[in-house]
Order: sequence, then C-alpha cells, then structure tokens
Amino acid sequence: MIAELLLGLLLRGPLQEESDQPALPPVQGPEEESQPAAEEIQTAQPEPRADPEGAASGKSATSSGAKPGDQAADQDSKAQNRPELQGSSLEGPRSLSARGTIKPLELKLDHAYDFKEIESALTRIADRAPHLAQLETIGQSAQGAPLLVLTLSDPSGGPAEEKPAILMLDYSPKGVSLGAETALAFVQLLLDEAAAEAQLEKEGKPPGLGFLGLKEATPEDLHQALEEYGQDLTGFLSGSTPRQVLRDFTVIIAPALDPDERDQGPAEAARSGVRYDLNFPLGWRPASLRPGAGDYPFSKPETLALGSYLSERSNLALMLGISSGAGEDAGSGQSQTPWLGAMLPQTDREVFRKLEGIGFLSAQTLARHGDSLRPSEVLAPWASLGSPGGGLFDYAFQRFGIYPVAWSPAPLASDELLSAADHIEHSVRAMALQSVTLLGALPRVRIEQDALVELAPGLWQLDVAVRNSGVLPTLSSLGEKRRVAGDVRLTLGGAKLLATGLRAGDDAAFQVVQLEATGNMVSMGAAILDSGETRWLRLVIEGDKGSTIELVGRAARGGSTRLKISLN
Amino acid sequence: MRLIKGILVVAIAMAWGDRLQAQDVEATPVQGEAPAPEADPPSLDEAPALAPKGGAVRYRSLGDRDAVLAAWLAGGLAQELDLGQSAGRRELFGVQFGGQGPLPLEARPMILLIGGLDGRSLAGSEAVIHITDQLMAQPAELSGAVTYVVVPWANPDGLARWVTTGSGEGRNGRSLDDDGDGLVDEDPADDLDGDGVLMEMLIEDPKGAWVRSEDGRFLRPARQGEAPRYRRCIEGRDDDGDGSYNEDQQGGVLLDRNFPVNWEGPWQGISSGPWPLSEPESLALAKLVLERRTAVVLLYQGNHGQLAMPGGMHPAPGRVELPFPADRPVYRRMVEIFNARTGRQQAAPLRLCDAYGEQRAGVAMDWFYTAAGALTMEVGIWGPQVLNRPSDVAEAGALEAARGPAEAGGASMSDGESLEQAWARWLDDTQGGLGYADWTPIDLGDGREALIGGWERFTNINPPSSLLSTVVKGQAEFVLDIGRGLPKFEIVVENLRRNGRIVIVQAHVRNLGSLPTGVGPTAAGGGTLLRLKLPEGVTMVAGELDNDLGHLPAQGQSSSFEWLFVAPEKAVIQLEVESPWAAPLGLEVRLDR
Repeated sequence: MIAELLLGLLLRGPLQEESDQPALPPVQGPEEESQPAAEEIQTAQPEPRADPEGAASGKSATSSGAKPGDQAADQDSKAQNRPELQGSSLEGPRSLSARGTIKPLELKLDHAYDFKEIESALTRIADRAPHLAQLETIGQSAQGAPLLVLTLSDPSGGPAEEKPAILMLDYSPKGVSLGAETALAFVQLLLDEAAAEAQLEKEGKPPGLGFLGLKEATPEDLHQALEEYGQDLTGFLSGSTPRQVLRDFTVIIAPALDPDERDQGPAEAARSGVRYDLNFPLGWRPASLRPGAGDYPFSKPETLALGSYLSERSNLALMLGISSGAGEDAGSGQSQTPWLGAMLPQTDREVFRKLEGIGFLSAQTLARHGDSLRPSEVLAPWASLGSPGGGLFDYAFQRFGIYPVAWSPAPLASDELLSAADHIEHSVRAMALQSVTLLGALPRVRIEQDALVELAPGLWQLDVAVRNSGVLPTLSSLGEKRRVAGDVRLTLGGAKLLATGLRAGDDAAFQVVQLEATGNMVSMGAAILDSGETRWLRLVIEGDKGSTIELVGRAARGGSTRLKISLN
Repeated sequence: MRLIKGILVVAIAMAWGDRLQAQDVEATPVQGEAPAPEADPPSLDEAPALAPKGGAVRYRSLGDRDAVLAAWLAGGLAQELDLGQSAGRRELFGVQFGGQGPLPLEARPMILLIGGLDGRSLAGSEAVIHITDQLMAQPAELSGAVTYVVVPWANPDGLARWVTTGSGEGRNGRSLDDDGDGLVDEDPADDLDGDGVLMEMLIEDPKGAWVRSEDGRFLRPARQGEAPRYRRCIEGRDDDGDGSYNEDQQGGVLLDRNFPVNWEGPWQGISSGPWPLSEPESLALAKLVLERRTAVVLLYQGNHGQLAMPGGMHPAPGRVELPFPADRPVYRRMVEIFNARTGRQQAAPLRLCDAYGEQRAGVAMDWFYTAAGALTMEVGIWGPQVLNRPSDVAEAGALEAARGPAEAGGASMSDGESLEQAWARWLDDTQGGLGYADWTPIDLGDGREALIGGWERFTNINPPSSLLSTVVKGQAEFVLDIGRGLPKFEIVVENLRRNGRIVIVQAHVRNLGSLPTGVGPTAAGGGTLLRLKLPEGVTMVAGELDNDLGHLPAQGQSSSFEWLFVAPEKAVIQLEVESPWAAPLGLEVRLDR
C-alpha cells in the first residue's frame, strides 16, 4: 500500500506544481548563503564563471600588482631577461604565511636533485606545512631506501582520500627528466601561493594564481584550442584560489619512486637490470623478449609498492609525469602509439584531447606573461607517449582508468642560449605553473538542493541535483569498462530513505529507481558523471521536522561531497 | 535413463584436510582489491571428500599428505620443500628428489611436476603422486644429474572446494569484490535443492547469451532472433538482492590465469587476479622456477586428454605468439614419446588453446616457457579420447563387470569437433547418457524460476576414481624418458697448435642428449655458454672468454670456436660449458703441442 503511494509520488512529476506546499527555490551553488536550509560542508568555492571580458582586456587576478613586492628580493640577474609570471615565484620566500603555519621554504631547483636532496626537500615541505602535508613511506627499494609520497590536502575540505586527487611522479635516474624537480616546484608553488593568499585577502587584494583558471586566455586562444583539439574549453575559464585547491582536491607527489636508480646515470641504470617503466603488468613482456622488463611484472619492490598504492587510491583521477623517453620503444625513441591491444575508448580520447587543450591554453597564458615555453614543452596524453607496454602510465590507465599525461620538455640543445642551470630552472618553473593549471580539470561533484516539500507529517520529498563541474568525468570510460568502481552513490544520514527516483533532464519526469533503500543508499544509475553533467534525484524520506539530514555523494574519481539540509 | 543429480557423491569417506601453518605467506598480500587472507579457511573444507566405489582406489587429498610424504621420505631420496601457503592458508606441499649424484638437488636441472593448478583436476594431482611413487620405486633409473620437484596439489583451495561441492571453478581462497560493489563474496552459490552438490543454473533472460542446442541438454551461443535465451551461472539465489545471481562468489582467483604472459585482467570476465602473480600460490611457483635451473615443467590438468604445448591464445597483433617456431620439432618429438609410453594416439602437438577449443589468457605454461625458458607441457590426464586404446577398452570391459557400463570405453575427438561435443559423444557412446543431469526447474525464492542441471562430477572433469590407475598408465615412463633425454655436454678440441709461445686452439661443444639445450628466446640469457678460464701467464690475443652458443639441438653441436693465446709451455687452460638444462662440464686443456 505504502509502496503504491510512494510510487505515485515519484511518478507524479515535480510535486511543487501540484502541491500547496511551497517549494524551496533551487540552490544555485554553495555561495548562495541565502539558502539557510542547505549547507554544503565540503565546498565553499564559487561556481566556475567565464570571464571573457577580463580575458579579452587582459584584466585578471594575475595582473601585475597582485603581489607587487614579492619578486623584488629574489630575482637574480638571469631572470631579468626572462620576465616573471606575476604573482608567483618558486624561489622567492613568502614573507607572510597564510595562517602562520605555512613557513617559508626555498628550494633552489636549478640542478638535478639526487635522492638525498629529494628526501630532504620532502621532509622540509612536510615540516613547513604540517597541517596540510603528510609524508609517508609506501615501501622500500631493493636497497632499502624509502619510497616517499607527499600528500597535500586541507583537512577542512574532507579527508584526503575522499577528494579528487592528482599524482605527480617521477622514477627516472637523475638528469634524465626534470620530473622530480618539477614535482617539488609544483607543491612549493601551491604552498607559496596559499600562504600569500591569506595576506592578500587581508589587504583586500585578489588571490594569486589567477592563471589557474586560465582567465587570461583570449578568444583567439580558445578558438585555436577548438581548432586544434576539437574541444570547447570556454567552461574552463574559471578560477580556484590556491587555498580552495588544497581544500577541494588532494595533491600528491612522488618524486623519486626508484631511489636506487635515482643516483645512477642513465647508462648505469639501463645496465642494472629491471627497468622501472617496463615492469608493470599491462602490455608487459618477459625479459627474454624485452630486456629490462624483468622476469615478471612487479618483480621490482618499487613497482609492486606503487601498484599496491594505486589499488588503494580510488580517488586518483589524474597522473602527471615528465616524459623522459623511458617508456618509448627501446632503441627507437620514436614510437608514438601504444602497443597493440591497448584500449582507448573514444570518450576517453576526447578527455585526453581536452587535457591537451588545457595544456595549450596554459602555455599561451604563460607566454603572454613572457614566460614562454618552448614548442615541445607540451602536454602529451598517455596514448601519444608511445609505450611498448609494461609502463606505469600504461598500468594506471589500462588497469584503473586514471588519466596519465606528461610534459614533454625538449632536450637541451648544445646551442642553448641559457645555461644548463637556467634551462632547468626555467623548465621546472614553467611545467610547475602549468601543472597547477591542470588542477582545474579535476572532477568536482557537488550536491545541490532543488526542492524540499513536506508531503505529510514526517514524510518529505527532497529533490537534489548532483553535478560534476570539472573537466574530467568522475570515472574514465575505460575505468567503467574495467569495473574499477561502482555507480555514483548517495547515502542519506539522519532520516530514513523510503524511495528514490531519477530523472534524465530538467524537464523530464522522475522514474522510480527503488522502493526500498538498502543502507539508506541510492545509486545514481551510472558510474560516470561526465564533465558538466547533472543528474536529478528525488528522495522520499521519513524524518522529524526540524531535524538535520546529511547527504553524502560518492563518485569514484570525483571523491565525496556532502550536503546538510534542515527538514523545515 | 540418466543419473539422478548427485548420485555419484553419496559415497563419502575422507575429509579434505587442511595443513595450516603459522608462517606468513611469502608473497606480498594484495592490497585493496585483494584483501589479506581470510582468518579461517572456508568451512566447506570440513565437508567430506568423495570416496570411490569399491574403496580400492580413491582420490587423495591434502589431508593425505602425511602418509604420502612418509612413504616418499622412507626411500631416502626425497626432501620436503617449503613453498609457503595458499591464499586460503593451506600448505603448498612440495617435495624434491633425485638419483645419487655429485651435485646437490638445488643445483641440478629441474623437472617440475605440477598437479591440479586449475583447481579442478583431481586426476592431475593423482597423476603427480602416481608418477612420484613410480619414480621413487626405481631409484636406479633416476639420473643423478636431475632433480624432480613435485607439487601435487598446486591449488589447494580450489581443489578443496571442487572436491567437496563441485563449485568454485577452481578459484583459490582469495576473497574478492568480483562485481565492484565494495562488498566481498556477498552473493555465493547456494545448494538450492539441498543435495550437497552445486550444479549449473540457467535463468531465462531475453538478453541472455545462450540458447538450448538441438540436443536439449547442451547450450550454444544464441543467434539473432532466437529465444528463449538464458544466462548461465552456478546454482544459487540472489543473496544480495541486486538482481544478479551468484556474481560475487566465495573466492577467488584462477591460478592458471594469473601468470603474466598474455595476461588479461578480470574485466575480461576471467578471475585472473588483480594483477599477474598476485596470488601466493602462483608467485611461489614462479619463484621456484626462477630460482632453479628449470629444464622441464609438466602441468597435469585439464580434460582435453592431450599433450599440449604453450599457446593459450590464438595469434593476434600485440600478443606473444607461442610456441616459437624453432621449438616445434621438440614438441613433435615429445608427442611421439608420449604416445609411445601412454598408448595414446595424438596426431600432432597441440597448442593449449587448440586442446581446449578456447582461448586461455595468462596461463602458467606460457610464462614458464617464455620467461623461464622451460620446456613446458600440459598433460590432460583425462579426456574424451583417453580410453580409446585397444588395451584399455579390454581392461575397461573388465571394470565394466564390476562397476557397470557407465565408466567404460572411450571416444576420440573427430576433426572439427569441439571439446564439449567430444564429451557429449563420449557421454552417449560410452556412458549411455549417464552422467549429465537433466535441466530441472527450481524455485529461486524471489518469485522466479530457474533450471539446474548439467554435468555430474566425476564425468567430464575427472574420471571416476576407479579408472585412475588406467588413465595414468605410462606417465611415469614418459617423465623418466624426459629425464634421460636432457642434454649432456661434450667438449671437443678440434685443433691445438703451438708455434713458439703462440698457441691456437679450436673447439666445439656437442650435445649428446635427445633434447635440445634449451627452448624459447635467449635475448636475456638462458642459452648455452662456453667459458674459458686462463691461468696467470696466459694471455688471450684473439677470441672471447665467454662464448654464447645459443640453444644446441638434440644430438647436435655448436659451431667451432677459435682462440689465440700467448702461453708458456705446459700451461693449462680450462674450458667450461654450462646451460640451465644440463650439469656443467669442465675440460682442462694443456697447451703443450
């Protein structure tokens, strides 16, 4: 009987049209603080908004004057020939820290770091911001060196493992790539900017890192991105402040995943037996057919440790590295396609193109600041790295559907105008800046309240929208095929969930999903919330008037999001 | 007409015992998707195992290991191995032995016999025990240059489940979230009719992939427009109420799909493990093979009745195509010996995928062969054609008198016939249709009905235990032949001339064995090596100290090598030849001619 009643309620369509009960106005976003019944705990960031006017006019949060004093002290003479990006500095100490807890840190990233230097730098970063940073050891190398992973996350936005995450990593011998140095620069940049943000806020100035949302991309840039990558990235023109980034996302770096090889030269490392980037399972072949691959995948403790780590991190959406050629077909270095048998669904190919487009736009933005990247310093998606198989990126995408991308810096030519130190410093800084830009691509799932109606005493109808405002989907298409995660789910706390319905679009009628909810949980009917996609859910719940309920949404790579609602 | 389901399991005797040990499993436990081993082994192990009718012959199990080991140790040749434990914390029982010889067992070329890795082939396990019994009974025949390592129950979890309930398809005891819903083993199989056996179940579904074939007992893939269609699964209800039946059963990983070469992930619908060698059992075997001088690996499993060679997958772009063409003659020779010893009539070597009539990704055999360079074969102890030898037909006729007609006779696979078709023909021609339970309606308890039925146990997967002694005939002799045929080296100095202080030496190496010195690729070593050791005062002017000979063919020889030395009179140099498959050989050469 009650089931029929609920079924009728669900299928009746938007109830507010038929009911005398006033429906609450739709919540536009968490910044709508006039919405007293809804409190979004995790998110307080403004909804992304395009700023074409600002972009066209060159006005932006990163315009000169944002932090005018920051650059003065620490610009060396070389930098005078290379205009700095306003509002950011890798080597410049921030004189003021945001909360008094992010301490100044100066890493001089103008040379290739050996493992001890990397270990020391990670320790210093962890000490610098103990409330944000966690340094952990995920295993040991064959020779007993720690495999270090540094996680940055503001716990006020939720546990680190429940937020969309990016992993920036490197495993190459010293000097082969600038991956380790770039990863260190990346987190230093974030912490510097987060420290500066609070002070700027006090001074009533806009936060730094305006480039984060590419506000300065011009219509011409966008048009070119559309032409070259087939992706309209207009929606990406928005900004998150550094502190919002740390609150909403989890940033992880692992700069020295193969510490034993870190201090060896490339030739020595190549001779030493099993190569890190040939020792992962997907597309692997034995050493008898592919020298350096090992007798079996994960035969190196270093690769096994990372494999285990990845299997435990369901929130990893994006993996970022620096291409060193290590994954290319042995000897040729020219292969531009993955091994035969590798999978790349069309929808994921489109996502990779978007990431490429973002890389392009960020390069254009940096170039506008005079921090021009050389043409080959572009963002290369996994598929174009040309792996023969058995690589880390292959494993990340083919097994878990994590999107791997890599910066591809040009090799240092003998006629470089810059010295080697300049080259390293410049490349590292440029790639770190662009890497921060990529954070804006991470999936962002939010629950928004559409309507709340009391159907009968203690019986409520709650309509919510679940939206992904990020560029990346909550799960790659390949990840869905690999069944790495279940559907996007909502769990209700503080009341009893009696029935649920879903509707496909704004104007569509709700369709019954279930009449009995197991564990107060409801599936959104899909594992993937695509970029910009919204799904609407109607919940029929039993709860006391005046009580507060909490909805927790969980999406594989989109992390968790919460919404508290008062039943009034 | 046909046997009532479960009739074969009424005779019950021995328990499938556990050999729980306190030490940790050697392999790193899989994190996340593959949680740590369960605190306790599955309770189904407490269920009694099947005993044979008549009691004379029966399938032995891990519960018999003490008796088996005691008998082997009594001969003074055997040593027990510590191979660790299964995911379900059962002992991975292994023993090594060999004839008297100068080298310790660990240093000799190894012939490895693995039983029941597929978790279902009880006959494979029994074959390994039988062969070991036979070899130990004739120590004079055992080469002192070879080590035999036997692992009779290589998949103790899968075999335990199979022998007790006929379920699990051979998966080990690893608890997994098979359907990605965050829960583990929440929808196991159920014995709906309470007969103690889990049969196959058909659920009518318009989207099902199967239809009943013209012979209504069997199913075939549905063609467009055909109905009614069925989904196939193991007997059981929808325990977790998600609309799917038994989609997340107890355990585990199919160990023989958990090896790296041509491995495919679980997303392909195979329980292949979260990654290759993720399981302690498969990793232990892999490490054993890598640590030893592994010459031959024989896997006793499968119901194809053939001697299969590597090649679990059909050739395709991006795949390692196996076996390598250069090794096909070796496998042809193996089939000849196999036929001669066992009386079977296999026409030619078969790749594993051809033997089964289906592709099999990530099989152990492909990795043992490709990565470890072992001559690897799978011996299907049981198959529809196994009992078609004239002598066996006569012998089975004698058995028939005691046991009835159901277990007598044999059938061979005709050209183009699938393995299932061959078994169907075997069923009708030799068993009178007995051994296949009719599809019977059953109430699923949720308002739906299904059909349960299918093959009885001890029909097409394992033979009735009373036929064990028949189906293992000649297997021990086959293994002995392989041991005898392993390569033996001879170094032949063709020429030695001295001109004052200058000496020239020419030599080659002969392989006196009836097997080559290796198979598979040699890109990362594994070939035969001829090495020179020079005393002080001898200088090599031309030639190499280490000379890679590659693989020498059976009864073949290497090309000739030449060295030029500056050496005093009566100086002695040493030539050494070594290969993973043969005991090393040294030769001292006096440079005084």
